[in-house]
Amino acid sequence: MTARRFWRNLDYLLIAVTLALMATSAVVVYSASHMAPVNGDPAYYLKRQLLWIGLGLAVMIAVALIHYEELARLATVLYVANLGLLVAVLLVGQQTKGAERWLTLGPVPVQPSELAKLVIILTLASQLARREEPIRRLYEFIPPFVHVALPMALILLQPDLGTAMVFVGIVFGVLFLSGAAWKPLAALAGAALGGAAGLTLLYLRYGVAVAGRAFLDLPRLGLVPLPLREYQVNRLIVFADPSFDLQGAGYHLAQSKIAIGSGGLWGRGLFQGTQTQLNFLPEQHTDFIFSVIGEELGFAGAALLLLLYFVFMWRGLWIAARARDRLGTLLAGGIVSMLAFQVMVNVGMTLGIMPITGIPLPFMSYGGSSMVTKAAAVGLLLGIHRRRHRIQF
Amino acid sequence: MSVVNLRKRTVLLFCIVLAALVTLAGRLAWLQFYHGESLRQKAVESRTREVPIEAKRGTIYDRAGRPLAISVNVDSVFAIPPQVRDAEATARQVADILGLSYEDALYRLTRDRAFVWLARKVDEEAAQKLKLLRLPGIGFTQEARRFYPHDRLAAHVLGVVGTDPVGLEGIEVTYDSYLRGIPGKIVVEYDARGRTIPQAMHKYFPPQDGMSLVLCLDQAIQYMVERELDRIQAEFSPKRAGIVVMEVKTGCILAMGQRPTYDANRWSEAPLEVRRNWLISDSYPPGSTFKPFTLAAAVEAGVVKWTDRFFDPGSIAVPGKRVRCWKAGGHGSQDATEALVNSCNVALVQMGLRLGPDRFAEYYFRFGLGEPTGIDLPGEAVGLFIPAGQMRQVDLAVMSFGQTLTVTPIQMLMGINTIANDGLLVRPHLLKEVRSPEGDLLLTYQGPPPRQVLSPETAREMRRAMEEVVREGTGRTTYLAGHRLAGKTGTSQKVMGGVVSSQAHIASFAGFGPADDPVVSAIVVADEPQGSMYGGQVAAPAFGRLMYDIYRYLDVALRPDEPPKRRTLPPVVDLAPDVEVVEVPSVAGLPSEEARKVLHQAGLAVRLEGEGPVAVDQWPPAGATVPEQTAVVVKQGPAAGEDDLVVVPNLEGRTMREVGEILNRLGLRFSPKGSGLAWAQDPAPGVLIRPGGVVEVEFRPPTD
Repeated sequence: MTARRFWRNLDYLLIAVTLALMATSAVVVYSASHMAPVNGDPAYYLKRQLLWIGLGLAVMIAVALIHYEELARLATVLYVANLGLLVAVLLVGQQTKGAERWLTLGPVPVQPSELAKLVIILTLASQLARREEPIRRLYEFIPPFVHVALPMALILLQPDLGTAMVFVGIVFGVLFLSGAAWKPLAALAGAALGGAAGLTLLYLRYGVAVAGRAFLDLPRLGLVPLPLREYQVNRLIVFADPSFDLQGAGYHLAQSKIAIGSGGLWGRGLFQGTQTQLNFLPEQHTDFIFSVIGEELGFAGAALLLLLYFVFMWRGLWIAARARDRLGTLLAGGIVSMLAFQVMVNVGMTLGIMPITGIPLPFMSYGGSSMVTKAAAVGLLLGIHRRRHRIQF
Repeated sequence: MSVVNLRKRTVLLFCIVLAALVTLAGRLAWLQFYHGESLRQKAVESRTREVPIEAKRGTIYDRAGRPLAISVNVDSVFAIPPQVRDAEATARQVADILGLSYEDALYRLTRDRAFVWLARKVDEEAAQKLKLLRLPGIGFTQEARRFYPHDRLAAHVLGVVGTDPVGLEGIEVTYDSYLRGIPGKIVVEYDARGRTIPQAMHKYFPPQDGMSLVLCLDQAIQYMVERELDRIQAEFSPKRAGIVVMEVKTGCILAMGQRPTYDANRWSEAPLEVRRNWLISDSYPPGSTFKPFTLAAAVEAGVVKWTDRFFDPGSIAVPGKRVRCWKAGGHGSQDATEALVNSCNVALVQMGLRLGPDRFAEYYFRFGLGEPTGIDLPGEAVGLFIPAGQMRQVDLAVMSFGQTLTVTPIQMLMGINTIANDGLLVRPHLLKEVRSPEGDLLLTYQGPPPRQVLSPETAREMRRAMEEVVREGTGRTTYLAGHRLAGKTGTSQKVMGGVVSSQAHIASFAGFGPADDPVVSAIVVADEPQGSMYGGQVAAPAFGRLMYDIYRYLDVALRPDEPPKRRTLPPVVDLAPDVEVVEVPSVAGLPSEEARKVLHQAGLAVRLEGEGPVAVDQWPPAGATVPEQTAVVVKQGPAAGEDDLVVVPNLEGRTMREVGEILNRLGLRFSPKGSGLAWAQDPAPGVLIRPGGVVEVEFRPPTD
């Protein structure tokens, strides 16, 4: 395969969208972080984010060069190695805000749960691709679910509810695309949704504070090992009843809505959003970066960003539909599911229609692990696209 | 899997993604366009911090305008965590000066809040030290601390105020809504560029100070009450003692005091039990002090005539019990007046039985003993009574002389006051007026309409009989020639754990004077006095001494032509022997030594109180006539006069907060205009003005 053929077969629309997202990210991260200098350097986060983008682009090209079937062949190894990393996080991980999520490699903190998402897409897709027939019966769902449940459980123990939820999104996306039978799939999705809704209803019905207390006390008593920490329960309660904790968890939501709402059509302009610039927004360069965009770039900017995501996902599905084999289709479908789910949950959270769970906005939030793994995902898509023609024969 | 199926699923997934993104965009538009205006408003609000300024709590005055409770401004320290620069260093300094722990200070300084209190109402010295450090993010606001200039005086009446200025006990609770005022605020805006301009002033909303109360309480009479209480305590060491003085015609409470007591300025050190105003919230068996009610009811109901004779052989049998008179062998034959004078239980039982349960209960309620008096203090209680339907003969008999049933001291006094007030029941109350901070009259106390309980004739006859008690009966320890005091002693047995105790007694006296036209009524109660248990020995002398002073203080004319005594009994005490009386000279404004000389020359003793070179106040007041060698209390204080004028300082370039602080310290008032930094002022710097004068300051935004 010559270099010329490689460059000729790249999907430049996808690359353009990716680059546009990354560039936006650099600008907005700077706008959201320059007033809180680290070590006296207002551009600290910008520089690091640019570094992650550069690293991500390199990884993207590298992944695009490797044939995804070769990656799939390593599935078992990757899966086991990934579990090992997740266990390592629990044992020697770094704590931030009550959760252990980071492994320190030299000067760089690495978040294995980000990588785990990619690994699970790859291994799940290869597991399902090996099947002769699509899943038809309920018990046939057991292997893929167990496959996902192991790393998901380890992530819940960190605890990282948001990332664990993304796994659910990936599983259903990939299963759906693999042609699993309608009825059992819908039943399982219904059960998952119903469980979440039931939990929320429980809070509302039996008094928010009382239920919250009961849920908090149970793990302490050792009766039910609820994998949620106090702040997570609070955030869920706040979703159901925003007035529950206005100073704590409710503060995030209230400030996010205030920032977005004061953006109007055209926004207040970069570096001009008062809520952002005055640090009212919590975690504004990471989880709540969409609120910054809403305030400073207004509806026009935020809607344009959503449009970019839409083009990205449309392109991803377009590649999925034209992949030369089932593995390619499921891989691309899994990636799109992951990104769509993350965008939905993250943006929904800043807009107050999703619970606050702490998932980064793909390509946008500050953070190396997220940026590099998302870039790697684009590399995978490019690789699938590059090899699409053979299916025509 | 077929290509068609794959296509179908891809398209479906695409549709789901599209629907999700459209939902997000819709929600985005909803927030930004539909809710945009209100959210932008909230954004402005969240960028500004409000620093509360406590309203100055209203002053409580006695009825002559002498302050009993005032508020002094002290500093409270707050932090605006986002403006704090070096949290650790700041925390160390702040903790050191304010006496907090370092961890606590650091926690507060780094909280994710716009505003946190570091310490409320700190003392002057600490506040000054901290201000000099000019730490970024640390601010000060004035809050008022309650101060009771007379420490223990009427502590139970005035009550207690908590840290957040809310009344917790006493008058401070009852009229909290008047006293509290409306807090003001300073709105501080955060710099839009994120630069921290410490104390950048935006708007100043002055607090609205609380209203003042003028009480019926008279500081001078209250002092007399406190003095008598101290004396009772010294002589008889009772568990508790209390005195209430009431103006007969109006129901005004002129004084109310009790022992044990506490220093109102250190109320938190006193146990709750000591702070309890048991004169209104605890009931006790009134004993013989109740007898006037039985007699009055019997006369008013027509079942007893004053000429009726009652024979006391020493005891009387009622179904279930033989009631003994306190005098062995009995009082023999006596008329109604003599029965009261002798405090004869047997005769009172006969009167009570003539009334019967229904009428006895009827008069009990008409005297207001079965309901709260409605006095304007929190926590009033009602005594115990056996309702007419359940009342046995023996209950009626025993209640007729004031056992079994219980009343609160304030109920008892209201009842006795009704006899003094021609049978007209007026409600006891403490509030006289509500005034604005500037002193304008806003409200005058209006009690419920009085109730006629006894006919004026019955009341007059009762007063005559009660005067006989003082002239010739158990109350003669309180007899004062020409004062025409009237009343009734009481020596009741306490009921402890449901059993009538033969050891624990309550000695009391309730009465009024002068009997022909009563001016004041009073009750003296001593709970478990030691050495003597009799109302006539413990409580009545205190009543007499109190009335002696009150007559002179209120200018009640003596009655030299009082009717002759019917019997001649040796006076137990004569409080008005042939002492020389002198008029107290005025010493206010004199240097202390000069004041001492003047008083000595007038034949008076001197007691100096307070610190300062000059006599600022005295008691008794100038012009009062007192026995020779009475101790005059002279209160010393700082010199007044020319020095009282204040030099207006130069305020140019100061923030509104600084100006407020400076002027407040000088005792000047502040009228701000505009915002920013002080630019012009009126009067000009250097001008001398009186304290309380207004300085108008114009503020302009700084130009750079």
